[in-house]
Amino acid sequence: MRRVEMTGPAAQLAGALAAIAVLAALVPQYWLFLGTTALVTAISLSGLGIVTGRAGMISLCQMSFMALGAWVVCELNVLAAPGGLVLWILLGGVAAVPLGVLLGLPALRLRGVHLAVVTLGFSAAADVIIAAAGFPGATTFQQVLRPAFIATDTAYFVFAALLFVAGAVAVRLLGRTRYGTAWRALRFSERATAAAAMSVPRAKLAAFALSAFFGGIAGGVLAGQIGVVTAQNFDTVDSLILLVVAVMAGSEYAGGAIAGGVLMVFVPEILRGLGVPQDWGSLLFAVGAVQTLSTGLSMSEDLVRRFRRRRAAAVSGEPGDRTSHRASGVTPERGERPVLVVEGLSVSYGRVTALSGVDLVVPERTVMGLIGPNGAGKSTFTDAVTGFVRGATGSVTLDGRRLDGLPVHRRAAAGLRRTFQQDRVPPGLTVAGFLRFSAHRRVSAAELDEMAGFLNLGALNRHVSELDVGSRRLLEVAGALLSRPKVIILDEPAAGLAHAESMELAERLTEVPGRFGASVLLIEHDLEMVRRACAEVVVLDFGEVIAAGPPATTLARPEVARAYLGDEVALA
Amino acid sequence: MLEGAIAGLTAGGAYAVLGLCLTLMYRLGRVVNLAQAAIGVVGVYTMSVLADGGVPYAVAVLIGLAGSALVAAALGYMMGRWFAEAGTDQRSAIAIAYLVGLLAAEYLVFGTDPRQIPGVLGGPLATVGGVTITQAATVCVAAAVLITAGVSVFLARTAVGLRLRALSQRPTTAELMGIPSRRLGVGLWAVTGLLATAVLLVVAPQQNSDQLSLGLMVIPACAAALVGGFRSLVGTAVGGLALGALQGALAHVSQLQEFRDVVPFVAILAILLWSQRGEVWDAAR
Repeated sequence: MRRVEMTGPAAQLAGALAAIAVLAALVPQYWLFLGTTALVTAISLSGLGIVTGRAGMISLCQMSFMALGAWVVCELNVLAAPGGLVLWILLGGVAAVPLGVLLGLPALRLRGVHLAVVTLGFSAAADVIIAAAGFPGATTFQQVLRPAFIATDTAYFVFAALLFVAGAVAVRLLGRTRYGTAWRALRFSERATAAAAMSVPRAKLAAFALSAFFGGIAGGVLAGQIGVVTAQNFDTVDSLILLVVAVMAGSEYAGGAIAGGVLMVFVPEILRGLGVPQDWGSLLFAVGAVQTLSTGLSMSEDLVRRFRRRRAAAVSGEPGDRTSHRASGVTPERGERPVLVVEGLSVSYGRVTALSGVDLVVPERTVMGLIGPNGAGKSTFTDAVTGFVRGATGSVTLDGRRLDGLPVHRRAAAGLRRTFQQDRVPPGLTVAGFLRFSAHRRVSAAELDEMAGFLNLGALNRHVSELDVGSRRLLEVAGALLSRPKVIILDEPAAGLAHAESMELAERLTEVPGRFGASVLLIEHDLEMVRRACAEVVVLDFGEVIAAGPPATTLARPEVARAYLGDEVALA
Repeated sequence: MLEGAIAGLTAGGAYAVLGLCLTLMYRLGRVVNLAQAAIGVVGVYTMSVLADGGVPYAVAVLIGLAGSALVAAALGYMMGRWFAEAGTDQRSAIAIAYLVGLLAAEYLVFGTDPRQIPGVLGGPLATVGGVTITQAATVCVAAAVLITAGVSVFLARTAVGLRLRALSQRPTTAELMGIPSRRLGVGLWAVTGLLATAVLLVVAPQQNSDQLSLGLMVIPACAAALVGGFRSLVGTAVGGLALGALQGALAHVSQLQEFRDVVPFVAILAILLWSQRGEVWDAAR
């Protein structure tokens, strides 16, 4: 992977093609045959790399997808369907997609361990069905026919290698799309993914569908390679080993997938040559995976990380100073036309009423504060307005459009953005990668630079994992602003910032309406910041609005002091 | 049909006991231990090899139990040492690696040929109304009931049970209060390993018992644990027994016979979708 980074995708592709040519020319038939098996495994691992490596969902049924792909190829071969093997393999991949989506459906609700249990259960069930149904043509030993141009083992090796490369290129290109980023974001936080206007179900199903497609293709190539397929080729245990190797090698990277394929095929082969039982191989993989999980770095990630560290040392960014000591912002002003209108919003959890009949109007081009003591219902309000709470009653209207009943990502796409109190910025992304993802539209490099300057984000090519919590909060705000929202709700954006930095953020927030045309609903405990940034504040206590108006007068009202400080202080 | 269901209770009892182990491990050890049954296989095969070599059955059983408890303790030690701070997902991924490693190790040590596992609970216990009740089924069901009751009382009433519950809910806090977390964790692994071995020793002689099919009995056990939501011991026991009975009954319906092993998957899916119907987001807030 190191060389990859240095030479760029085009050179990398050329290198891969050259390597295929050299291998095909020099390596003896027997080893090439094994090489093809390694490529089949690598293609399958690439699929697993998407769903497990990128999206972080444990899938234990990759072999079932392979079996389906192989089954389709065998069936089409028996039927002597037109098109030939290459088309059949593609059809096998396509046929696996609905199955992947079907298995992805439980993943919409289930995650982590529960999903692992489902996929393992499915894998075992599929074993039973395959054993009962058998593969077409297996009992009569009807070989899968290869077209003339890939009839020899050498030609078939090249064919499999080209398929792998095509898959790797596709994965790489996909990795740059919104989906690619969404998978990495998903792994860290589904809520943040949805808040960035990406549909979580769609991203999950896409990951499963693609993983199944790769599995199906791999199964089809295998059927073409060995000619006659039996149920033994697709054992449940192999799915487990595949996952273990995917974890160990880091199969979300092309290099990791190929390394995993080579390991899975050649380690047992070498052991066999040495007269050592092949089960040592699986044992080795298990130990390798435990080691990987204990360090948290797969083989590929380890290399990437080392390279990144070296590059970072070479570039040597100065530690980001988040205060720029720039000119102060503008005087907060209140707009006239309402843009966000919340009416009668109520939420209760069981018998506890978190919000009761909250009415709130955010005018356009206004920074409005939403304050209240802990437990007043501020975060519940944010969750309910942005669609995270089911069973909230009342209505939310954004710029004349009713948002009630819409899921989170649709509300975000409509222009209602939020940030989180917790750190929800996926650490696997670069600063620029996160900003582009969060923007949900095409943004130019100039726009990114301008935003980085506006909120002092520092170098755009840094990884989120290198940033401290305060910088991540600012990054989250920046990403939301880049999406050109109508309203942005900031849930305690200054938590994790020093006082001077909070005040700097307040200055910048006053500029947001003018610069970005957005209204800001600022939830904050730092009242000095609220005074500086807001043209108006709304005070919430016990789920009800108790006061609203300009900051100076509102904060001075006795009921506000009582809510914050208790009866004695207010009466004293 | 009824006879089939009764016969299925042998396997059902095993699912229940394995499921109880899984539930305990999940609640107290923060891991879905997919290697649970594979750990039991170590003891079963050790016993089988020794018994075939002329060691008296009772002695062989004791050595087998000790062996798998030792292996379980070692795996638990590694988990506690390297992955104490890891979340349930990561620890469960480790358990998957354990499963792969254990299966491979078992093939290496015990060979790949299927074995006839010796047992003493082969015969029928009684015939009621023309339906035969086997000794093995009786023992398995009794074991499921006793273990459920015993563990419930242990967790609710004893000091160690209280410490275990504290440990599972707030590991760091518990450790700060002087609860020896690592030792308790290792003990938990050893005890569940012991239970899994014991129940497999009963069922292994009754069925097709290669290492793999025994090791993958963890799948129906997961289904059983899911009935109890990986929380309720009673739910798990009931789930396991019901699943076994259902499979046994289906074995007597000729059209479905081949597919009776699909039942766990359908059960898993149905239960999960129902029990998690409200879980929309990954984090509470």
